[in-house]
Amino acid sequence: MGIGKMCRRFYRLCFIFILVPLFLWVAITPSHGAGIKIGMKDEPKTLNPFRASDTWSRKVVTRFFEPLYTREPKTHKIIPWLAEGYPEYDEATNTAIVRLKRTKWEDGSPLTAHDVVFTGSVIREFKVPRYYARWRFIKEIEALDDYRVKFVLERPMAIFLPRTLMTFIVQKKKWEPVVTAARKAEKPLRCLLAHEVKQPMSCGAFTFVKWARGAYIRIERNENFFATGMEIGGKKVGPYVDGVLFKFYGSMDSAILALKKGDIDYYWASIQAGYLKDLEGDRRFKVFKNDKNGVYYLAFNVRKSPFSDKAFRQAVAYLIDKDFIVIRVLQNEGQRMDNIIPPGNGYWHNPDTPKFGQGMKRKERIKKAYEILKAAGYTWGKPPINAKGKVVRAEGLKMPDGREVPPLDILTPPADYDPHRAMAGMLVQQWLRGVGIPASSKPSSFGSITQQVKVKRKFDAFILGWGRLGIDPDYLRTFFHSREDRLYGRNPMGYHNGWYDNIADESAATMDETKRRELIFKMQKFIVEEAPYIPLYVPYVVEACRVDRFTGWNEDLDGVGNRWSLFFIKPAQ
Amino acid sequence: MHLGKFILIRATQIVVSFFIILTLLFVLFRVAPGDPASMVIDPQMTPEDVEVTRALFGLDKPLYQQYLICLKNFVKGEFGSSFYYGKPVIEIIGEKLPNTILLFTTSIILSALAGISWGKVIAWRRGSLLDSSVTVIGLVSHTLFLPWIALLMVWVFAYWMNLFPLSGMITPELWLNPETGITMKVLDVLHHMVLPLSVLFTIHFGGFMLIMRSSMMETLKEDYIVTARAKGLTERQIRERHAAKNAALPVVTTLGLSLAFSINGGAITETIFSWPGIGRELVFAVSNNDYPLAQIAFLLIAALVLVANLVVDVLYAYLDPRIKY
Amino acid sequence: MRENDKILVDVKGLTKIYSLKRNIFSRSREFVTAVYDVNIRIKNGEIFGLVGESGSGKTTCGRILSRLEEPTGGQIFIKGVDIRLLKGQDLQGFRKNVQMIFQDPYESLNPRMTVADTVMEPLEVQRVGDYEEREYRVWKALKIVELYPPGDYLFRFPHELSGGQRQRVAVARALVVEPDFVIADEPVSMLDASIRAGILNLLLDLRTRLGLAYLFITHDLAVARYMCDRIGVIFKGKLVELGKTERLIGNPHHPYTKALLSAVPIPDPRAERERFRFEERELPEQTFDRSCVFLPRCAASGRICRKESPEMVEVEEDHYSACHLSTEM
Repeated sequence: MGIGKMCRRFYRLCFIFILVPLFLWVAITPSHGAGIKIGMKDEPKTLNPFRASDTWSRKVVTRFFEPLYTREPKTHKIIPWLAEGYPEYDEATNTAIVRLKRTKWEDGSPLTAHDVVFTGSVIREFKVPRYYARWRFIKEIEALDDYRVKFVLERPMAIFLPRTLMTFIVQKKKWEPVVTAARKAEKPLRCLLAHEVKQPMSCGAFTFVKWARGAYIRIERNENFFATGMEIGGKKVGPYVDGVLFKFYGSMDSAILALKKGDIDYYWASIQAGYLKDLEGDRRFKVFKNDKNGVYYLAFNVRKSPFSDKAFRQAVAYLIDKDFIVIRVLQNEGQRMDNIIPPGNGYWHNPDTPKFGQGMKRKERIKKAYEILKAAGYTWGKPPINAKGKVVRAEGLKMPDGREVPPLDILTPPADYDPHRAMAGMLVQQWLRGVGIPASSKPSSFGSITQQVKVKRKFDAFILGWGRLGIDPDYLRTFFHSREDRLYGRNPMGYHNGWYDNIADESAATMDETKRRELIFKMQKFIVEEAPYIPLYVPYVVEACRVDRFTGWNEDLDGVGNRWSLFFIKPAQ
Repeated sequence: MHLGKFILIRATQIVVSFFIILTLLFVLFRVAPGDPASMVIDPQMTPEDVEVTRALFGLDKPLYQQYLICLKNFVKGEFGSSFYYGKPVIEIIGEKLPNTILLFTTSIILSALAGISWGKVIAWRRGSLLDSSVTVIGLVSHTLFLPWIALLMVWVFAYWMNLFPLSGMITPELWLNPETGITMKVLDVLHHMVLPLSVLFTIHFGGFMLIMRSSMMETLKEDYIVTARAKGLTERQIRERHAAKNAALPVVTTLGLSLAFSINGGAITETIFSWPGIGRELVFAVSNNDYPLAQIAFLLIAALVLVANLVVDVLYAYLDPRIKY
Repeated sequence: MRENDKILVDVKGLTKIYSLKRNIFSRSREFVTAVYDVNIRIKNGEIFGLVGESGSGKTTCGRILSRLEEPTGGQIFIKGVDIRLLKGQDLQGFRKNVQMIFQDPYESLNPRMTVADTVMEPLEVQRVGDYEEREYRVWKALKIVELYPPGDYLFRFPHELSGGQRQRVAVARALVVEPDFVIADEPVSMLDASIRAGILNLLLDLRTRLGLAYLFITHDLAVARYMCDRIGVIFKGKLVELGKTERLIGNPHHPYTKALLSAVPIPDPRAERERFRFEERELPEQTFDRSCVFLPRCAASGRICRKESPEMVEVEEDHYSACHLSTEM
């Protein structure tokens, strides 16, 4: 009776439920708007520029906030952006004067020196993570007038121009009340970072329109954008698109389907090799392959033997067949790395670094490693090369001090997080065992790796990667400087070398780019030779764009998803 | 009277279990290696930045203090802020939960209704061709691999036949148009719901149907069914009034718990359909060690399951006069 | 034999054969004969007892008579109408005339229905009167079955009643539509001895007051003797002896009846129920062609018993027995 009626009603409901939207589809199939539709893997977490650290937030937030200086596409040359000309630097007093262009915020009010001073002061006062390090050496910031800012540095710092002056600028008027409120809070920084930006005040190429949580973010062209019409790298800055609609696709499968169906014009993330065939055959798309600005590497705990022995590390470097990893694991969607600074970073990359074992066959590698280890005093119960010069199974590897080489764990992220690194770990394990090094690859959760590596700093070796390295090579200093060998430091390997520390410090204080470049080149050669890291590979960033809808994509390190692309692309005729 | 006392006792138990679960969750998350600050691999993060961030989250304090603070805030009704979003956890959940309920809870209700009505029909006609074929369908549905069926349905109905949207919950172009009326918006959401709902329906339907079928089979052996027939009731009356009502009892338990668990959403479904629900948020929070968010989300589920159990028990007493508390 | 018009129920050659599939895949079927060639006549106001051990087919007879099951063969006339042909409205009318009381009052009442719902449901099915009329009838029925005052019982659930009270509710449920014929299938076997007599007396009393006829199905000869005007003894689906109670008990002809009687110590229904026991012999596959159905258990079988199934023979007035040897004894 009751249930029966309910069921009949239920079936009728189902019918309506399925059929009405079916017919509806005809009515509401979206027409292509004038803007570009960009898919992202996840939704931004915040529009607060001080907080935005995840890649999705940054992709949106950086549309609104511009820095004083930026880098030209391809050449990566620093060019004035909000600033007018280069800073006037006085070496004697460590003082720099920066002049500003006459630019405007989206509300029409001018962007002035006060906004710059305010932004710098906030970062310094609240010690905003990620930015404080590039502002802490600024002794004074002062607005000389509305369009001139004076910076007094504690000491010459190389990163002043490429880091400090490339920080985003926020509007003082908009942020002053927030900062005032934060100062009074129990945890000021927390309060500042927790501030929810509902309507960012933009000085960038786009202005914020709407964020429908979980669905989309819509931004539109900023008619007041100062750079519109400027010629950069031979191209005129737009933007030529009316706006951008960001949509979110959790899985690669649905993103690729959305690309093919026309729901999005570009997916702002690297596409896995398996999906490419489908897109490469489609004439609407162009597939771009560019270097990622990162490096994947094997690192050792050089505090303990045998990793404390440079000879041992080099022997390991010879054993690793990077080309094999690139071909078999990355399926050729990447290239081998023999340096920390990726080759795509043309100005700073030193191509002349040792390339251990390049082009060697497996037998030659084992022979070479055997020779190095033997020369360094290592002994075997049964060496990997027998009397007849044949490769055999090695046993009983002993260190020069007579102790056996203990079992060594190579930590890698698990295969579900990053199959490439997990696979590389297994290959390295096999290669090392070839000369009798009892290595085993240990896929572990990311949290567990960071705990062992960065917090406890008790481990043997690990395979991790750096991404978003930036163009400025200052990271080369921090990765291997003995000052960074501490809790949460960036030198968890415990690498200490006085000569390197000195030259690294010198490079950090050298404001002359050419001189600095020489130092950085020396550092690269030295550190690769020393091999606390063994750089393994860097994958390509593979992207597909609807070139039948938009042309003029700017290819660069980390792919076509960059500010210049959004400035340059034009709707296809 | 009795029921009141029963509810009171059970409510006390629920509160106690709740705090036990809170403690367990707290411990579980903190013993998991890695904390949200040190897990960040960013060349720009200096060790000082990590320390500052840890202090920001209160992770610099000893564990027992963190626990006491957590308890204190909890009693005060403050559930903390997500490490990752910086926003109050309640806000994030409040944003995502309605979407999850709209999709997952609806799917549970629909599949339960359909499962019950089919289960009773095929149990009534046990042994028939209808019974065997629908039972096989139910078993298939019950054991289907969700990502597979989801992607298949997306490919066929959304991509190939172009009948439904690929993913998401709304059509941005439509919602951005100021002329769009509320009816269109509602229909748009419904349009987006059809595919994920069908997938979830397919997955859940079988379970409910099989439970109902076996429960109904048991009921049909009862003498009062014979009595009912001897009374001269029509077969339909017997099936609906006497058999189905009694057979539905075990399904109520399953349904109650399924409903409670449904608010947890499903990371897989949400990922494939880019449905902005709480399931993905939860997985994300756990893998990023966003303790406050993960803790609250799990607590919410725990609380709902505990309450659902109570509700099911009370409902049972109401549905089955034999049960008294 | 009296005249036809006084005969309420006339069962002719009732046969029920179940066919079972061995398993889902096999096509071969197994046949089980539950009832074979049973002939019974029940007069208006008469209580006819059908006595047999479990599995004898007595319950199947009851179920067929109340049309819960379809017979395989034979005819059943109730009030001169062949009930096998009833459909729709006529079947409803039949349901009104023929009611059933089941063995287990714990199971036969829907646990989720109150006494009022249970008793009223048949009236709703039969569309008797308006709601007030139905309420009145329910009230009356409860009073008749001595659930007094009825108001105390109306809104109780079966689990809130004792076994005797439940069976009274079951009786009330059967009586409320004012039937002519009630099939009572072991109505007291699941009840405690102390309350059995109450139910039995109630049934007897109702016969007197309402002029009901019963088919009283039981395994207990003592109960049957207490209740019934006539008794039919059924064994393995076949009626083996039929006669007036006193004659059948006093002068049993069939060896099975005799065995049953010997197992009953005193014909006192208040006494503790005791199931009769046979020394078990291996029973060969039951067949109704040729040999006597009782042969495997018969102590005094002759040669003819193996060759020929015995017919019901009138051994004295209105007393029939199906045994080759009974006439000689």
